[in-house]
Amino acid sequence: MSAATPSPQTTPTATDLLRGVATHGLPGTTGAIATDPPDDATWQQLLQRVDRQRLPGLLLAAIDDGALAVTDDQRTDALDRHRDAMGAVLHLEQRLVALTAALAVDGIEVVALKGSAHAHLAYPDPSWRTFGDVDLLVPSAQLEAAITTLGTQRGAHRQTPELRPGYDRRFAKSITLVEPDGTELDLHRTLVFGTFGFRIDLDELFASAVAFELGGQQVRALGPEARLLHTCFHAGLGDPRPRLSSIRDLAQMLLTGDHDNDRVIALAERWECQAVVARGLQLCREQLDIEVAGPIAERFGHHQPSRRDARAVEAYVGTNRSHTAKVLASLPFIDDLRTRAAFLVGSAVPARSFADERGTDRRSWLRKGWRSLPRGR
Amino acid sequence: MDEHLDTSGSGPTGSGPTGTSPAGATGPRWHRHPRALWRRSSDRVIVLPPDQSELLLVEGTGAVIWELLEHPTGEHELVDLLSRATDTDRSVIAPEVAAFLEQLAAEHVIRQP
Repeated sequence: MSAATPSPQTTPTATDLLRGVATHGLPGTTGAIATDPPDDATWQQLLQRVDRQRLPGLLLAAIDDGALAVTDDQRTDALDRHRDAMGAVLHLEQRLVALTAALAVDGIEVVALKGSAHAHLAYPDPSWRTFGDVDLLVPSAQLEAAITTLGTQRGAHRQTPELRPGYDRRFAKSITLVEPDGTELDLHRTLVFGTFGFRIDLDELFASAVAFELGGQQVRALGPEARLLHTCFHAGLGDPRPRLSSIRDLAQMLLTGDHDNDRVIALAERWECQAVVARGLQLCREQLDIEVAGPIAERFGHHQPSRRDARAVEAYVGTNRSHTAKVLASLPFIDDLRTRAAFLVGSAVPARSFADERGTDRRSWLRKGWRSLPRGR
Repeated sequence: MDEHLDTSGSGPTGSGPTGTSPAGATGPRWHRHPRALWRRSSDRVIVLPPDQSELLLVEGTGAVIWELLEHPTGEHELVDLLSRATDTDRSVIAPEVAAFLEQLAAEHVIRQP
């Protein structure tokens, strides 16, 4: 008879610690991340990855809550990083307040997306969430007026010219403006480019908006159900390897949000974005190692996407992802033939004015498009 | 970070709280300026004053006072609270609280209702 060999006590790697930090504070994850401080090399790796994944708020929370043991020097590192991150966040919020006020003066409706809205509405303490830019949603019909207002009042200018006259108002996801100090601002028309974006009722986004107080102003944000689905779009389609902070946003909302599950399910079905919600749930499972239970997971957790939807998701995060792939994957989502033609031509062939301003010729734009078409299919 | 505000730096000492503020006298009342943006950072608070670009770092007892100033609070009330919490004579705490509030007011991050 031989005694079973106990499994060796393993020291957590930077990856283990990062995952623990990324899930810290979620319901059901109250266990310790590490009971002994990490060695210097592991700590430095963790810090780099915390920065990259935009998690300094959760790192400090995990330390302060006693879930992650650190040395005094390591705590100072975490405090310094958090202080810097919060300083940047406060300056962005100051900008957000000024931008929304400037737009309001000209009667332009505006809703803050992600960043500050998530920090104040999704998390128990906004200091847990850091962000790096300002994203605003304005109605399509007011997009050009918003660009004019921000140009006149704040000296902001477009980063790139419009592909074709009228294209942005009909088809763009967002316009990037650059303020005189070089800070970029994304002015959104919708929540996702092409595909599923054609199913979103944009008026509804404004009708269901909620408000939070920031700097003495009421700043509007998406309603809880639309905000949750936008978070699915951002985490699920924004990048093949989304930041852990984006996936954490989704887990945070799914587990603690004030949304109505039935309304989320109905909205996801109306927007035909079940495949995107399913991908979001999959990211929570694979990247954060958490299983989200509840009606939304029950409904979409094992969703089998149609060929159209699977190709759409692939166009954003698959190996053949490209602008052209997104354009082509969008066509089945557009019912009206004239709109389909306008979208296809507008997205694939820029106007001469665009090409001139970019210092390129239109044929090279087309060739680039052909090259990005998937081969061997 | 451009400026540190900390009422605990001089280390209030004393044999214990004695007395409270005179009946009916609360001193000036203060609360956070609604346009001041801020975040907690562990036991500190980072504040961005309205229309400014330089950040303030509020530490120690200062961070406690900042939390208390969520609602309009009288200066004497703050002194009473801190005196009891730290078991320190009011006469020691009062000038420090007054000076701290003066600093915050000068930075336009608190105001009187």
